[in-house]
Amino acid sequence: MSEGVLDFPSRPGGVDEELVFAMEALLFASGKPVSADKLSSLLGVGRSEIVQAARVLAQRRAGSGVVVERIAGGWQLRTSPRFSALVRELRGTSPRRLSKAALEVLAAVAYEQPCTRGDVEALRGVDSGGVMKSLLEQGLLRVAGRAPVPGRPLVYRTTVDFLELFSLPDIAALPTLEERKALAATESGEGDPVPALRDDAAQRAAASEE
Amino acid sequence: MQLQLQDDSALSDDTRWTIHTDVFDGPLDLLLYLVRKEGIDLLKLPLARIADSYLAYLDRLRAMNLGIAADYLVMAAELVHLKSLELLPRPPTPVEEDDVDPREELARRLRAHARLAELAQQLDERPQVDREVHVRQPVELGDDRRGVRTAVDAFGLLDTYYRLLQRKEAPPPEVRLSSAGPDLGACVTRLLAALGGPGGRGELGQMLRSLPTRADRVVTFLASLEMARLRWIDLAQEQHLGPVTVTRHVADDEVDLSAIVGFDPPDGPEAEGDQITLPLGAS
Repeated sequence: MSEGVLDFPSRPGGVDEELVFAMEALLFASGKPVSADKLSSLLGVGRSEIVQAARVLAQRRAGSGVVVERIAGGWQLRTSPRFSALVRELRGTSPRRLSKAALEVLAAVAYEQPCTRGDVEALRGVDSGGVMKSLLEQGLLRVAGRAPVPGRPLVYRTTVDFLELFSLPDIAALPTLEERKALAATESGEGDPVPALRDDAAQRAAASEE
Repeated sequence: MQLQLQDDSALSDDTRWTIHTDVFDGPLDLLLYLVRKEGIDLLKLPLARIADSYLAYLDRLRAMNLGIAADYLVMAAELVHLKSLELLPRPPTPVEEDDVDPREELARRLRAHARLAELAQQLDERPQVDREVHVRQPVELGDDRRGVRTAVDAFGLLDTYYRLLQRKEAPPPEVRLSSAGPDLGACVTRLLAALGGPGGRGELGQMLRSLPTRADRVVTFLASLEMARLRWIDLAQEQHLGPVTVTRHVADDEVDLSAIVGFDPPDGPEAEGDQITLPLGAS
């Protein structure tokens, strides 16, 4: 495929036109985010070429009705937010809304993971079993083993579907610890050494990871 | 705060209101609202004041004939306790009190809660699939199209009849007398291996029948239910008494046997005892 159906010379960036088109076809056919590794093995070129081709494709589609975005470690074709109302009308759906409780649980797990139901409830100050069960069923949370503490409670993590739902390239794309520290400082009036949201869960994670 | 008021006058002649509110999500949330409303600095939490306004709020809710959840009462009790600590003179020798200032502890919980609410809101502000952006196949969230459908016609009955006959012809399970039952971990890994990588499929009944002993079949069946609960696999049955399709979701590196209820990590190599390979993968 890489050999030339090219009617025009390669772009200044040196990216094979056909590669860009092939990638577009794959992303369209998949619907789900497709990883660089997968694209690389399908198209038979190296990762760096894939990344470059994806950049060209993203640039080319930018501003159009369907754009390329970096999602969950891969690339995905998505409709532009400009047309969301139209697309919903076509599909006959109403915008999905997560409850405040569900969002809080997701935020707690996203930042604390791996964490137990107890960790989440300590932060929220309210029973969260039902919400977590529902999020588990929706595939936004997953069980990732048990904590090495008495009672061996289940520990939870967010899933790839979570990244996709919230348009995140990866979990690190959430506001970082530093940004949150700044947030905490403005909130309490002084540099607070990152309380509750982190400490013990992080230690436990470190302990269980070895 | 917005309360949605709904007139329930159809029920009786005295005015009855049902109030739906998702404004407060638990006692911490209410407390945080009160603290903010009074413009109180979270670092110097005047407990007496906070406890009073919290209790006053609960009184107001009660006057409006609202049921108050136990969580809120627990928080009320805690606040009254903290307030009493503040009002009473401390005994000269501190009585087995924790080193942590209870006020600081409460303030810490409130700050963490405030931050969590903030993060949740930030999360909600991101473009979301099926809200701002759309993908070609909507993500399957909470798929409830599955489930038991009974659409049995004459041919279905005939099929079932033949399947039952075939089942009779399957070799009867071997009865083995031994003290140790089948190893749960081995059953799990065996089933996953038979399914191949993520996305692999198989038929549950067929897989179970290929196992030699009844105990193996029972434990593997129970393991499949547990794995479905953990969403490692998906079990789908199109119709009553129909074949059960097993679809694997979990990747190899996500398999953590300790998540399985009832799993005891093997102490020694004896757990590797019986090696049975399922003859089938995809069907």
